[in-house]
Amino acid sequence: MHRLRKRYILFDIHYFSKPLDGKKIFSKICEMFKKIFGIIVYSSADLKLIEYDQNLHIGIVRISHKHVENLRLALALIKYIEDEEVLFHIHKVSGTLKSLRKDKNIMVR
Amino acid sequence: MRRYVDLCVFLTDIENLDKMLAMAKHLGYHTVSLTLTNNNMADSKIIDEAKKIAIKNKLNIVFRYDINTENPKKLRETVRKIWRRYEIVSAYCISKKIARIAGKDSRINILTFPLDTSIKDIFNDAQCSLMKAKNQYLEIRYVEIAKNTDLERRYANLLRWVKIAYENKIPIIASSGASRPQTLRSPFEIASILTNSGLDIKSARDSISTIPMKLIEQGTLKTRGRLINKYVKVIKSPLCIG
Repeated sequence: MHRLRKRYILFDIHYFSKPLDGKKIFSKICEMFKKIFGIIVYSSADLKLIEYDQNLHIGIVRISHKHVENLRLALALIKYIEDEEVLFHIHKVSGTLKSLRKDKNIMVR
Repeated sequence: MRRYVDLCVFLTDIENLDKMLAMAKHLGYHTVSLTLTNNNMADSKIIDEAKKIAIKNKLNIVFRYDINTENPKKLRETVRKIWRRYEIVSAYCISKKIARIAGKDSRINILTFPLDTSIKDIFNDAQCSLMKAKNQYLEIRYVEIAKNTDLERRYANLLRWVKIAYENKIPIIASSGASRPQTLRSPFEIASILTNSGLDIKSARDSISTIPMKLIEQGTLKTRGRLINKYVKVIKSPLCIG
């Protein structure tokens, strides 16, 4: 069977007062993705939160390579998470976690 | 390397501007167009202050005037007054009448249409032929799409207009339309609006980089008095002898 290709996306989130929990952020991403593209596309996108650092507010999500642009749109359209105004910014899209973590370390430094 | 441009950032108050430009720089923009409208006219003091803030943030800025009126007479008057002063002049076409009048005016560079409009054929092939003759651009703003009301109508209009503009070879510009730092978005996210509307990735990224940059270059020549019209450009001033 043909293996599904994946992309890992490094994002940071700017919130303007209180810090947010990773699970809440991811559920909001899923909700927005479903709202815009529907359940069929969502289930084929294979979206997963790999990690989220609450102190640095940097996270990594995994998605099918066909749906990277869809995820960009979904992230752009998220304005609020629990009445908190947020701004997502995608730093890098990569095929491997290793290179993305290297970039994350550079960002942190 | 692409240089990204946000062609619509509203200049609302000078205190917010520092945060806004710092955020724009962080998101990867090279140039930002500070937009003034009929409602928020800025005096020369504010413009000088904005320039200082932009230099501090290492960001290029240009000024744009967005005409938002329902009165055709006022539209013409405003264009006559301001078109030499601002690099970019745009019109927000609330009605079909305004759209047609603005489409016939070569001094207006960009036309923007409200995405939630229910007016039939406000942007159609006829409008495109007017815009093409006057070298005008169509603008799509992120803030218009991100509003939570009437989503179906907004997306229906967006998909239809992008298709019409693409078929008629009208250049499309994507911008944020932000008035606060929270409503800014990175250039790739803004381009994703167009890729999801049917444009290919290259054209979508051109619409936030090369296309607006070309317009800014023209506008800069215009404000420096070096562009007489779209065909006549001053290359060298005559020498003064005697």
